[in-house]
Amino acid sequence: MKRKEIEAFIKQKALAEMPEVIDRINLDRITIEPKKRKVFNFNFGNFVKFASGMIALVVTGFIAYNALFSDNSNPVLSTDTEVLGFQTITAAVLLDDANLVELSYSAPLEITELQMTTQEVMSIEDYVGDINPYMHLMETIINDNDSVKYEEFVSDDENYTYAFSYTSTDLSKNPVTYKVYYNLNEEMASGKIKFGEKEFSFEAKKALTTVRIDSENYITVSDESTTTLQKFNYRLYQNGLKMSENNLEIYKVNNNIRVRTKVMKNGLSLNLDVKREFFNELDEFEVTYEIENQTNMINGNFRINLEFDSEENGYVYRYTFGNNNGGMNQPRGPFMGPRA
Amino acid sequence: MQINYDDYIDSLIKKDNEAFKIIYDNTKKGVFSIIISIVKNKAVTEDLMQDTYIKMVEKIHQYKKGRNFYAWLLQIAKNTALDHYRKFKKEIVYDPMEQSYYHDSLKTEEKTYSVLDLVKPLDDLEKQIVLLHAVDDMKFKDIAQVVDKPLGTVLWIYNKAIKSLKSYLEVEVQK
Repeated sequence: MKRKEIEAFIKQKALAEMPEVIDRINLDRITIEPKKRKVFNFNFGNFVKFASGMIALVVTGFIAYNALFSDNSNPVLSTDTEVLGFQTITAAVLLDDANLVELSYSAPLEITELQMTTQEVMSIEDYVGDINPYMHLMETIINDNDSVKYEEFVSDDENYTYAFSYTSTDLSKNPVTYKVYYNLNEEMASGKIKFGEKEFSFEAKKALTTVRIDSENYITVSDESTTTLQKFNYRLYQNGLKMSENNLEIYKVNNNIRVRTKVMKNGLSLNLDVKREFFNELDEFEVTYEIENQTNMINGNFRINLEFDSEENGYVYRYTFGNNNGGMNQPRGPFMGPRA
Repeated sequence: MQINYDDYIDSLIKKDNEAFKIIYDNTKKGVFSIIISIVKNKAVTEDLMQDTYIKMVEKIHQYKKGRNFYAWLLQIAKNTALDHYRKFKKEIVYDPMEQSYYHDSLKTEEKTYSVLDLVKPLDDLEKQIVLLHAVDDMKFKDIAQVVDKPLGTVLWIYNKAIKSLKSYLEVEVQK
């Protein structure tokens, strides 16, 4: 049998058996759930708080707007080397992390693992596993702008003419170092990203950069920057199939790099706005989130700090949620990368 | 031709039977396909189809115009079927030969759909994808949204499913 015949056969059988239930549904007997609205009870104290909050918001918004959009002459990535370095290194981090975890689609259909029902309430804690891998990327790229350096050096690899290094520090103040080697012709740059013992190849052509483990496992990065915003789109492919996609915007507030990212994976949309808070010993992340599936949406904020795990003899991420729901630890790994 | 469901939402909120009928007529194949890929029994399927449309009306304010209404409705259908599955979980057993779950007390030939015999060798996810495409002519990119899988994965599963159906049906037809 040919494919068309099989499809037609199935369709014919199904339509012949399909029940009609419209006569069993009486719209007049259905109660439509009202729109969810917040109820405000007027209270002078709350009004004062609200008004103060609004003033603070307007002032903050004005400052943020100026910081974001008025200083176009001073973007986070200002040279071609920095733009190339940022795309190749971020892609390498995502690719390396994805390569270390199991493919999500290979899990068998286990009904209890599927989406929550319309009756269930979404909770941020259910999505920490989806968020966690991106925190490694954030550790790599978010810092005080003066602590992030792209430095060209004379290539020590005879196969490549040009080279530069990227250095920053992670939340535990340890150095993060990546080296990029490449050749250049009129059409494209091609080369490799080296970190620790690992190497990924890349090619960058116009606004599209591809970083590869092999022909089936790779990430494409599209530079979608505008005159006011530096923005990139990442598409992760594993075994030749697209597994996830995320947009990432990078900007500066008071000389500190901040990142907004929107991850789209399995019908889920995770919007994360990540800010690094600086302390003497260990730094922390402050994250504002909005998570949406096809039926529900939640938003709020949480903090991530490092907590020492004596069994692992290393730091783990400690998530503390803004709704006072306590917290939870998540592995900082499997990212063993350059600072293992 | 695919209709713009958003044109009928306001009328549906006013409980307009005509708007409801248009939505029902255009979506029933998909709703049926999703439910029978999870629940096999005829009587239960009819109840779940009815429940799906009732929930759709009850929760219509949760739908935001501009989104994919059909995918939203099919998600309700899927969740309704899965809720039923969870409710009767203790009575449902997994049949490794059929690679499928079934409610033991309801698994009798006369109470199930014969179309399910045609897709017997497929697992539940494969059934969903094949039925949505074959019965409802749904595009793969829309199916990907409904089953929460990347488009590439859906295409791969579909091709694999059709391949196994080819060999299965050739044997069955000869019997």
